Amino acid sequence: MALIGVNPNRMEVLRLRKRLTLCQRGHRLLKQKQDELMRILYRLIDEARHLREEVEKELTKAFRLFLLAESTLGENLIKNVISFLQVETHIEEQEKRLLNLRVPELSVEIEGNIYNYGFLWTNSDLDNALSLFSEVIPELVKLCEIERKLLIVADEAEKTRRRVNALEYILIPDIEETMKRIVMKLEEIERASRVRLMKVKEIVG
Amino acid sequence: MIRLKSTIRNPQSTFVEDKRYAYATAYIRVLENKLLSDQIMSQLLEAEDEESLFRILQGGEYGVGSVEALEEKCREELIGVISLVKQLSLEMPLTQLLTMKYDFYNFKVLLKAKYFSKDVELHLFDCGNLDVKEIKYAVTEGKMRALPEGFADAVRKAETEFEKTEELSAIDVVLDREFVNTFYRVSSEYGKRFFIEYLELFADLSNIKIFFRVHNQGKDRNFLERVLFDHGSLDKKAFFKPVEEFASGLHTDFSHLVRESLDYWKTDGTSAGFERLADEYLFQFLKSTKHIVFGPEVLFAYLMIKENELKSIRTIVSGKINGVPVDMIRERIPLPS
Repeated sequence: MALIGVNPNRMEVLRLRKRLTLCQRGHRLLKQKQDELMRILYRLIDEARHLREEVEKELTKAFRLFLLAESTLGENLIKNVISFLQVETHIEEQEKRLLNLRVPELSVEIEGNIYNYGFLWTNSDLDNALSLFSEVIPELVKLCEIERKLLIVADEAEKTRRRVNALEYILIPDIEETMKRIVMKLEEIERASRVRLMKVKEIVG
Repeated sequence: MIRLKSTIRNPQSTFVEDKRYAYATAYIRVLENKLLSDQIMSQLLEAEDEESLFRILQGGEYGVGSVEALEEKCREELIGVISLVKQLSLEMPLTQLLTMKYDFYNFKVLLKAKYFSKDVELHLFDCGNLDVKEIKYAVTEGKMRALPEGFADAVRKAETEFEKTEELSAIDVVLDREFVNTFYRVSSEYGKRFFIEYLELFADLSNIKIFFRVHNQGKDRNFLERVLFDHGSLDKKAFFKPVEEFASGLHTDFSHLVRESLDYWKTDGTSAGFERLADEYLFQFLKSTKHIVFGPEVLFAYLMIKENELKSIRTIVSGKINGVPVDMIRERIPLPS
């Protein structure tokens, strides 16, 4: 354990005691923050896992239907349908505060008609695939938002854990040890002074 | 999965022998024997891996080693078969009936590209009756005079509709309708009853497919009225009813198809089941041409069935390789026989 390089006097003890109180309070607050961050982190992990499963399931279904549509209608026709789709997706990002952290909040808007083609040379698989894709896009954006939040919260939880550990295992024990040493040193000085006084008294007496 | 079990409507007319098509019919009859059988299709569907899929295909015309090569082979086959039936055709109306859909398709793509603000790569079919360069010139320069009768009018109507609605789908809707009208006009002028009956059946089945899809898309009655085709045997008013009422009120040779696929539509929310049944029904109608000794109908039926074969092979191979469940693939494969 490292001692803090300070002069061994009462002023330093008082200063160190104040510092120790501050560290302990900080440690308590950081511990609470760490607990809250972990709670949020687990909730976000759960949300992300569920949403990812759902999104993957829907995307698999959509891709299968799209593949079937592509092979039944032919590559040329599908390419032309897709090239001329008049659909626009707008994604807007806003910032939100979460435990003093800046996390993104995304909103998505799909404009236009996804069924922007005729009926005669297309089929219901193409309709269903495009409908599923348009339904899954908002969920996909939501998943991005949650996973980004997850990264920010995880990063912060890691930083907080390091701070808590630094306070708990390094700074607080160091201050306590230094205070203990200073007190011991002061007591030693006091004892030496008392012995010296006693000796002087004996010589004078 | 539902399979077609009822009897199929046969053409009302008796076929008139046309000896001019003796060579063409004989030629097509030989090629018909080379078409993939239902048994091969089932083997393909049951194939365990990519290797066995291509091994099954090795025996026939589709002996290739990769999906890309198969795609290319299918493209070549389609162009080849269209060019063959065009060569075998002895009359302009028949050539038009055989290739008209590719011409209309090219018109649709070029018109859409003309009005679409972004640059897109064009994917045209160079196998129609009209030269692609001529169509391109006519559409981009607005010079319609060089186009055959019917096409110029159709393009003008599509342009007017697009300018009114500003929706690219309006071009598709108008040109699809014009395709059906032109097919009807040409087949009426041609005088072969088979083609008129085919169109009537095609329009009816397409209208029912559209009816289901419009319901799924949540579009209104006005929209449905706009996209339904003329020349079918069903009264358009029948389509403005709820699905169950429409299905129970249908009394035609193919009403059982609608009723059989209704449960599937209700549970899965897709009309893929009906689409396959309708295609099978149409193919069985086309199969009636096997009773023809000589005639242009054989060419038309062969082209349609060959197109379906190419479509089915592509669907099975790409579906199997990409892990699509077999039932889902089977549901999309109309078996002509």
